Amino acid sequence: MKQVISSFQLAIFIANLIVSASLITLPQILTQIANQNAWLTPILVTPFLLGLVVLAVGKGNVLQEKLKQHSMMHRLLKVTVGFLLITIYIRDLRAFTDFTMEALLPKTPIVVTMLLISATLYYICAAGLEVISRITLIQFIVFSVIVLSLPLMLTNEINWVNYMPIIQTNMVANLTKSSFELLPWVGEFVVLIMLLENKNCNKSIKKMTIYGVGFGILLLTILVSLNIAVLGQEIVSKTTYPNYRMIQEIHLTDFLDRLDLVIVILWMPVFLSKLCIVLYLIDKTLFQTREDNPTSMFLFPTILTLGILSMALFKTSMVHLRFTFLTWTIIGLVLEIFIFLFILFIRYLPSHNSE
Amino acid sequence: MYATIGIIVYVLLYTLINRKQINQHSRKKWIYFSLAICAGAAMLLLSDSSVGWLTKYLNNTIGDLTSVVISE
Repeated sequence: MKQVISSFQLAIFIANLIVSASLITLPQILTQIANQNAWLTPILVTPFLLGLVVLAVGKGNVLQEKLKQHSMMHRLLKVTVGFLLITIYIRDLRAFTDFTMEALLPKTPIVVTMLLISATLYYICAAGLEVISRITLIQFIVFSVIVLSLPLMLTNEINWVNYMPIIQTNMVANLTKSSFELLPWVGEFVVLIMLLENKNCNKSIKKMTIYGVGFGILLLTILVSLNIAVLGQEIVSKTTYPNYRMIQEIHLTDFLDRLDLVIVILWMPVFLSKLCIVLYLIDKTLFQTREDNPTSMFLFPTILTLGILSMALFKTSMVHLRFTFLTWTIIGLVLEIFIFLFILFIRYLPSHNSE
Repeated sequence: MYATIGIIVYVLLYTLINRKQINQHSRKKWIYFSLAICAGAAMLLLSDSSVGWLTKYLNNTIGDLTSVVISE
C-alpha cells in the first residue's frame, strides 16, 4: 500500500530539515563570519530561497505529475538526491553522536552511541513514512513551542548591547559570506522533492512549501538572535555548541536550574526524526522498487554501513567540524544547484521529450 | 575491536533470521552483497586512518577553497 502524507506534514518536514541540524553548530561559523550581525543572515537568505521555490515548484501539481514519469533526467535527479542525502546523513549522524557524547553520555564509547542511535533509527524507519511523519509532527510542535518561548525564558539574560554596532564597515561583505555558508544548510529541504509522489493531493504544495521554509527560518533566526543577545558575539564564535551553552543560562527559579537537560531531551527526538526522514529517502531513492513494503531489505545494511562510515571518515570531532563548516558547504551547494536544474528541466521540458 | 565483532555478529544474526524473506526477494544477490559490504566495512573501525585520507583530502582541497571564499 502506498504511504501518503498531508500538506501540513510536508510543511513540518521542511521546517524540521531547515532548523534541527543547523542549530547544533552553525551559529558558531555564522558569528565568526558576520560577527554580531549574524542574526540577519537567515532573513537575507529567505527571499532568495522563496524565489527558487516558486520558480522550481510552481503550483506543484505539474511537477508532481511529471515526477511520476521515468526518463534519464529522473534517474540523474535520483542519483544526485541520493548522494546529497548520504552526505547529509553521515554529517548529521556524526554531529549527533558527538553532541550526545558531550552533553549526555561522556563515558560511553562513541561507536556504542552510534550503534544505539542507528538501532533507534532502524526501528522507526522500518515502520514507514506515515509513522515517521506522525512522530515528526508531534515532536516538532513541542520543540517549536519551546523555541518560541525561549525569548521569555531568557528575558533576564538578554543584553541588547551585544547587537551593537549594527552598521559596520565590512557589513555587506560579511553578510554575503555568511549567506553563502548558510544557503546549503537551509537548502537541504530540496531533497523532499522525492516525497511529492507520496503527497495525498496535488493542491497547496507551493503554499505549504513556503509556510515550511518561512517557519523553519523564523525558528533559526530566533535561535541565532538569542545566541548573540545572551552570550555575545565573542563567546558564540568560540563555542562549538552555542545553543546548548545558551539554554544553560536559563534561570527561571532556584529549583528549576537544569532546564537545559529537559530542552535537550525534547530536541533529540526532533533530530532523530530528521535523520529518519533522510534515511527513508535514501532507501526510497536508491533501493526501493516496490510499493507494497514501507522500506526495502537494503535498509538494515545501509544504516549500519553509513553509521560505520560516520565513525571511520572523521578521525576526531575537529575533522568533522572542518568538514561540516567548510567542505560540506561547497559539496552541498553544488549538489543542490544540480538538483534545482534537474527539477527545472523536468518541469519545463515537454512530456513527450521526457518519456 | 569489540564494535567490529559486534557488528559482524549482528549482521550474521540478521541474515539468519531474515533468510527466508531475503531469498524470496527479486534482488536477493544484491541484498547479500550489501550485507557482506556492511560486515566488511565494520573492519574499518579497527584502523584509525583507513578512509580518513578521503576526508583529509576533501578538507585540504574543497575545505581550503571555502575558507578562502569566506576569509577574503
